[in-house]
Amino acid sequence: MKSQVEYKDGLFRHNSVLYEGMVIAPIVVCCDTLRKALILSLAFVLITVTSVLIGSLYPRRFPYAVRIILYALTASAIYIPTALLCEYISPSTYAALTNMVLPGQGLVTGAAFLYLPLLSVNSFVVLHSELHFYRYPRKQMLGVLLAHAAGFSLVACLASFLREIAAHGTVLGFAVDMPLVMSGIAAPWGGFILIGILSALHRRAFRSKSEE
Amino acid sequence: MWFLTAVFSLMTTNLIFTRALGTSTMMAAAKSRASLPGLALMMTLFSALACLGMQLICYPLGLAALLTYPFSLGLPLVYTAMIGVIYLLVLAAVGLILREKTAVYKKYVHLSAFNCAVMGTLYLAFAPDGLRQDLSAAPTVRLFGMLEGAMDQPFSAILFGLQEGLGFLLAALMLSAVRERLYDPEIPASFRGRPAMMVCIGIITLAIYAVFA
Repeated sequence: MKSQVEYKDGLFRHNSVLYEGMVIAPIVVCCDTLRKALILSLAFVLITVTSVLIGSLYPRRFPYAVRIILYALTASAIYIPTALLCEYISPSTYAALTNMVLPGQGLVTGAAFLYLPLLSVNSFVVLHSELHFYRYPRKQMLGVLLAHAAGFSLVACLASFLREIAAHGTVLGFAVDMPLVMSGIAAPWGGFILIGILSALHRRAFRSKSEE
Repeated sequence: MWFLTAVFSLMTTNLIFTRALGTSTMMAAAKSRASLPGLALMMTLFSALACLGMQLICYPLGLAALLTYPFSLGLPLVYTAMIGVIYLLVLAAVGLILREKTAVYKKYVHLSAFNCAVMGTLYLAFAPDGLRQDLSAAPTVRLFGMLEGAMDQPFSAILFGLQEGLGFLLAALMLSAVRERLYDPEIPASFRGRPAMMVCIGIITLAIYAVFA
């Protein structure tokens, strides 16, 4: 029962993006279409879950700094097959993940190439593995970890769904009849404002529930 | 004039406002003005040392092939190893030099090591070859008058790292200045604090995009 509550908390109440403010950058910059969010979520889940699981096998007797370096190196190694898999699944979406709008330059190809490799040093791997995940027995840790990773994916997909409709007037690339399209929302400022609003809604939803 | 150019370049190339890198660290740093300079200094040091290290690996040691496909897939491993070595060296140096005050400064070292802003600086300074051409095709004003991709000189690499660290400090100072207002009781409870700060960063970013549109 306690485990189920912790899984739900990881997914909703203690959501890594909306509650903890972690791993914001890829959502703010890359997630302006649902396809991109799906590929990003796949990469995030594969890199994070695998590297945290492997990291749990490293001996505790190593100093903290050495353990953190080992976790990050493990995640960086896992990034290689993950990137190849994402490119194999959808080459066009994988390529589109590297495009972003820069001030005064418009959409620049390749400007956002760093966000996928940066997932290998995300807070789950280098910070929360020690602070949070490794405090659980391994089986329970996997559940909590999957719940948190699913929480990230949920927010990534929700934010990109809203931004795709508002910025491009499409959902998964299919045109939707929108009276007004604001292409600027695909830029990072749109991501920041949207995540801010979603965080506020998340706080309101979960606070009112606990007060009741 | 130089000052204005410097401020403009720090804003347009700011890792936080234009690339959202290190946002959560910066929001944490903005909580206390006392810890802000220490963290910004440590991140600047890490960025500059990491850029210098990669410059030495790529050019004097002749391993620039690392930046070409398919070797570029292994860049996260190289960059992580580079930051890891600097992390251990800085920890040892802090322990040796500061002795009693080690515990105070150690937290800055831990926070700066595998920070997205520091790693992002490395990726921007030493992008994979195909992408570097695209990035160079859209030059930006840089504080020290150089373009992204011109990293074949050690001095350029150090300046690049310094610029990104200064950008982080500028962004954190701006947010720490408005932080108290963002916790004002007049702000709706749901928005108070982090959500308001995210919206605030969004509005500053929007202003930067508007100015340079």
